[in-house]
Amino acid sequence: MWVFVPMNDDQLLRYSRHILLPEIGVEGQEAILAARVLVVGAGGLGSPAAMYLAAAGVGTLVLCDGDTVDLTNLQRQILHSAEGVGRLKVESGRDTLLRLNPFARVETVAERLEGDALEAQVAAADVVLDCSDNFATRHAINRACVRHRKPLVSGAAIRFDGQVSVFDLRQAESPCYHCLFPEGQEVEEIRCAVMGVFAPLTGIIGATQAAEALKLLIGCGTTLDGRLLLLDGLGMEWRSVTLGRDPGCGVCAGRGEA
Amino acid sequence: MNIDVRLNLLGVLGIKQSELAIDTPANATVATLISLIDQHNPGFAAALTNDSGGISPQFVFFINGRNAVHLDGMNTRLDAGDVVNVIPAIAGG
Repeated sequence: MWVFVPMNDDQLLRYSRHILLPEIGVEGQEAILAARVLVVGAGGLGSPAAMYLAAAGVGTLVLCDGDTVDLTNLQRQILHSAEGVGRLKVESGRDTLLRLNPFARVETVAERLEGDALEAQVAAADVVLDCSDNFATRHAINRACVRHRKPLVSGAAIRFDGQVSVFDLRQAESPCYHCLFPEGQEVEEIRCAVMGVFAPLTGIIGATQAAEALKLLIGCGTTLDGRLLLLDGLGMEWRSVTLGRDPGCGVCAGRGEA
Repeated sequence: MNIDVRLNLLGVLGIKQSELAIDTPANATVATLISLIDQHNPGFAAALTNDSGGISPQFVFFINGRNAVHLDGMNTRLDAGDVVNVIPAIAGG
C-alpha cells in the first residue's frame, strides 16, 4: 500500500520536468516517491537502472550485490569509480546514488540474494529489476515474483546484444521468465568476463529497465509486458517478439486460477 | 510453403541479424527449417542442436510467439506464413 506524502517546494522543483508531463504529473511523481524498488545486481545493468530510479525520486531503492568493485567493471558499471575498487558494490553504489539524490533512501544487501531473504525483499517491493548475471539467480527471482505477484523487469546484455522485457505477474495473462527461458536445462553461462560486452549497451538496456519500472509505478503508457525487446548493438537494430504464457509452465501454470 | 524466419542476436555464431523467407516442403518441421538455414549458414545446425538431436537450451525458437520446446520441439510442424524467431538465451548483467 502506497502512502502518498505531499511534495515540498524543493521536491516540486526537483521533479518539475516529470510533473510537467501529463502522463506523470503530481500524482505520478508522488507514486514514484512512495515506491520501493528492488534492484538485483549493481553491475552493468544495475548501474544505470538504479541511477535513473534514484534521480527520478524512487522513495526506497534496495540494491543487492555480493561482489566488490573490480578494475574491469569500470568500463561500463557507472555506479562505481576508480576510488571504489575493492569496496562492496552496494556501498560504492549507495554513495553514488545519494550524491545524485540525497533524498533517496537506499537500502543495501551485500550478498547474493536467495532463500528467505529474496522472498522477503520481493514481497516488500513494488517492482523488481533483474540486473543479475546468471540464470540461477534469474530463475530464483522469477519464482519469487510469481509467488508474490510482483512485476519483474528483466534485462540482459552480452557482447553487442541486449534483451529486455517485463513480466507483469499481477496480470493473469502475462508470461513469466520461465515461460521464455525454461529452467532445468544445461544452459552454458556466457559471461561478460569471457565474451566481452560493449559498454553503452548495458547503459541502453539498464536505462530501458528503469523506464519500464517507472511506467509500472506510475501506471502510464504501455510496458514491455508480453514482449521481448531485442537490441543488436552492432547494427543498432531493435526488434520486438511477442511472448505468450506457457500453459504447462513449471513455475507459473495455474497462476490466476481461483 | 514460405516461412518467415527472423534470426536475432546470433552474432556469436557469426550470423548477422536478418529476416529470411525460407521455402520449405509441406509438413516441414523445426528440424527441416534448421537444416535449410544451415545450407546457407554452415554451423547453424550444430550450434542450435544438442547432443540428443533436440533444440539446444542455449537458444529458443518462437513459432508465432510460442516457444517450440512447449510445442513439439524439433518435430513441431510449421505452416505456411508462420513467423519463427530464433533467440539466444543470455544472462549477462
